Amino acid sequence: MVSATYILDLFIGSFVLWSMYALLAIGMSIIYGILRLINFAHGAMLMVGAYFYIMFLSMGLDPITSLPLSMALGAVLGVTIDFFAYRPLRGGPELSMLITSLGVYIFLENLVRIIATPQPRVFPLPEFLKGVYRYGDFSVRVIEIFTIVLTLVLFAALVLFFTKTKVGIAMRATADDLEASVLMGIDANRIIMIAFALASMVAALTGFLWGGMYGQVDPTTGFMPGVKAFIAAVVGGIGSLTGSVLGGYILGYAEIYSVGLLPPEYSGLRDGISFLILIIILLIRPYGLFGREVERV
Amino acid sequence: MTLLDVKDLFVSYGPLVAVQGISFQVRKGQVVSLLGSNGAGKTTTLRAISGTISLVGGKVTGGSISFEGQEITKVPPHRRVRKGISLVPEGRKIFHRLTVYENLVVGGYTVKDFGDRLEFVYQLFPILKERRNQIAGSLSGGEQQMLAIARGLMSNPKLLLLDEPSLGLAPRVVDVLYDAISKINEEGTTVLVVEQHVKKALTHSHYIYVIQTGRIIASGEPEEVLSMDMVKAYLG
Amino acid sequence: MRYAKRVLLTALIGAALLLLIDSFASGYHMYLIELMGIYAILTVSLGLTNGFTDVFSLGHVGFMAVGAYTASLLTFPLEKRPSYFPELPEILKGAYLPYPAALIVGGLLAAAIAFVIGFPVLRLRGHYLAVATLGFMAVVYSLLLNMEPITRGALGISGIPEYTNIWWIYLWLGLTIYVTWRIVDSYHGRAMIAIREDSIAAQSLGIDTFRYRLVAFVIGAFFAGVAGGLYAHLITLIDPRAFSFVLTFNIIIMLIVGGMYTISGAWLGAVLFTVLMQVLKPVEESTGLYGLVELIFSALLVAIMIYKPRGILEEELPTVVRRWLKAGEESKRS
Repeated sequence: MVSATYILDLFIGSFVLWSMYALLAIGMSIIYGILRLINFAHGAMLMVGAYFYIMFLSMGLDPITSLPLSMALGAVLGVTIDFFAYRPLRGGPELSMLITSLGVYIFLENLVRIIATPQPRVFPLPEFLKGVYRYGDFSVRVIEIFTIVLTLVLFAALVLFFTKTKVGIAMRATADDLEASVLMGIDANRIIMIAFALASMVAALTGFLWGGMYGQVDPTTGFMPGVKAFIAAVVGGIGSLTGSVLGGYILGYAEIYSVGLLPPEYSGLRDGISFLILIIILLIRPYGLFGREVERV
Repeated sequence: MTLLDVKDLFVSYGPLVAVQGISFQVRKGQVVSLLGSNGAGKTTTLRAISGTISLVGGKVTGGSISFEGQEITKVPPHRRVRKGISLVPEGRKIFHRLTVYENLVVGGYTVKDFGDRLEFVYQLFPILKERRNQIAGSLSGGEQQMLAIARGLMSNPKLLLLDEPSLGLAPRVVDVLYDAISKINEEGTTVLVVEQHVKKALTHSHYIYVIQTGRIIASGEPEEVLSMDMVKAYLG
Repeated sequence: MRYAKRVLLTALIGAALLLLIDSFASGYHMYLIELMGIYAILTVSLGLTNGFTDVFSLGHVGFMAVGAYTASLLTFPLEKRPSYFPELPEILKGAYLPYPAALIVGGLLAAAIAFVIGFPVLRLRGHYLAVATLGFMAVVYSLLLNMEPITRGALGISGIPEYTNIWWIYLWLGLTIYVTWRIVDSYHGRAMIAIREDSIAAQSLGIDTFRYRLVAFVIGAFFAGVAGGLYAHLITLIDPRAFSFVLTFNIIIMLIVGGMYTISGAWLGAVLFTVLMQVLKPVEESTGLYGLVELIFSALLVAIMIYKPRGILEEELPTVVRRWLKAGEESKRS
């Protein structure tokens, strides 16, 4: 029953899911690294990004313009949220920011519900991503390949950004020691702004991919991917870029294979399995597979 | 000419007053030492000058700090670096997860002539050039202190603040550091050092202030200060 | 003695009030008052962990769900079980308990689970703990959906006997408040507050932080489980969606807005939430702006976190009232 094609299908499926979790997890990691904020609202940025794209399309713009515009608007929104919700809490307990981000999540979800109605929207995929490649029994969608390739390219670009550019290195320095980075003449608020802009932009792009993969979005779309990405980031070691990507990978695989290889009656346990992995990892390695102890006295 | 003028400075952490009205000057081109035992308020004073006091929950509650004749108490910390003040903090606080080279890149965040600065600090501490691709956290204590000073010099400061540079280091390493400090000073950078290591400070400074429980209790040129009985008793 | 008198007096006043409500409130208002009581049990018990120790749990609703399903199964009419739960495991086929006992067993099971997962999870710090407890909630949710022989999955259980009334709810609320108050006002309670204010200092004082966290977590879970049982026998039908993240979030909003460091704040939050919900629901329905209530609540939460992070009631209500009275007298005198 389990044929080679089936396994290959699962493989592609988990790769795609990994890509999207990893993209979100990277954003969460960037923000966590600098602010020690587990940004629960990050999943909502995915959903909002997908809606932005639909909005620009309905204004008559073509997909090639709409996508970068939706990413830019996502970045603006991310920076705005930081300014109003998180900046006033800087220096306070970590938990206040986590609770606030719960509030921000609910706020965004319901704002979209009010503006765009709770009904799911069809997510129109641009023509050039609509095709399907077939090789005998095996088939793969263009959007799937696009997602995988784009994620790899983006990951490489981010690694370059964080290791080769002055701002990127300064961001890592700020994540390492905020006080010391201020002593180097770095404006921490500006760095945090860049972090939010970058993370939100990537989240908006993930929204585009997510919408394209599943064909529709609704105001609650961001919840589960957000939570999963969050698990991916923690499993990999939040604050570590490589960790986030590997965390996404582990999670994507666990999820797809638990659905694909277990008897059908257990397939509903998919979300439970992700959390089980999280809890086990947290117990064995409280700072994730690639994380380091960051809490200081 | 006075480069730094601290007048009647008060600093508090919440209800706790850590610095109680100290005044001192640093003349351009000199090496000035602030001596005192643990908890005397030395680190707090440096944090007030660099502006990072607000990041650790403290506040300047009175007095003024002027740099090149300009009041800077209200200037945010990252801007003070652009004005020419650089603090090498206590405990070094290098970026542990970055490489030596990346630490220096961040140190030179505000400057345009990055290449020249890099050349300068590599000459000062050749070991750093050798180790440039190593993760900073893996350096020895002495090397980390050299990196911290080099990083602080990358912004081409007019005034270099050093907080306990000799802390926890072997005497041989301390000698190297203080030779470097003299060299930095000869190149034209004014230096304000906070120390517990009295001997080193005495031989390498032009002027000395002794601070005790948030107040200046003595000041003068090294020999002058050393001859005061109360200072002898206090510093041991 | 002083305690006993005060408790008795409060209980009497409470009973009189309930009698009044019981005889005058109409069906719908009655339902609201009952729901408010259940929310209050949840917030006060969550306040025991989240407020009095520095454990921030997002898993409270998971314990509530455990209590709700357990109690519902135990009181479910025996004769209807074979047709309604055809695949029910042998032991559960004949397991019947009267309602009050079923509530307690539901609470105890929730407490037992809290004890087991508390051992590993409570060793985590800060937001890692929040994430792990959220994970617990999600696992419970996923199990409820998938353990079809017992839970009937997404269909849920309907036809649960309607045993819960205002008396049961407020009796349990009274008990929750009483137990929480005794804990907070005891030597142990002060230890817990020390933990909250400064975990490291508490450790250096020789307080076993882990033990107190675990005690608070387990007791909190017990009352959440009972609240679940009360809820199931009030609504008479439960399904996994009733115990989702939305409810978790609402309880946290109530607790934080009201004031998570005081008992009065916790139940006040539940009262405010229910009232505000009632005021806002018609607005939402007449304008067609569904989501408006949540939008306002979430904005309120963010505002509270920024401007009044300890919530509306930073001190217990009796203390506040006493101060007002005193201030009033003094202003009269002068």
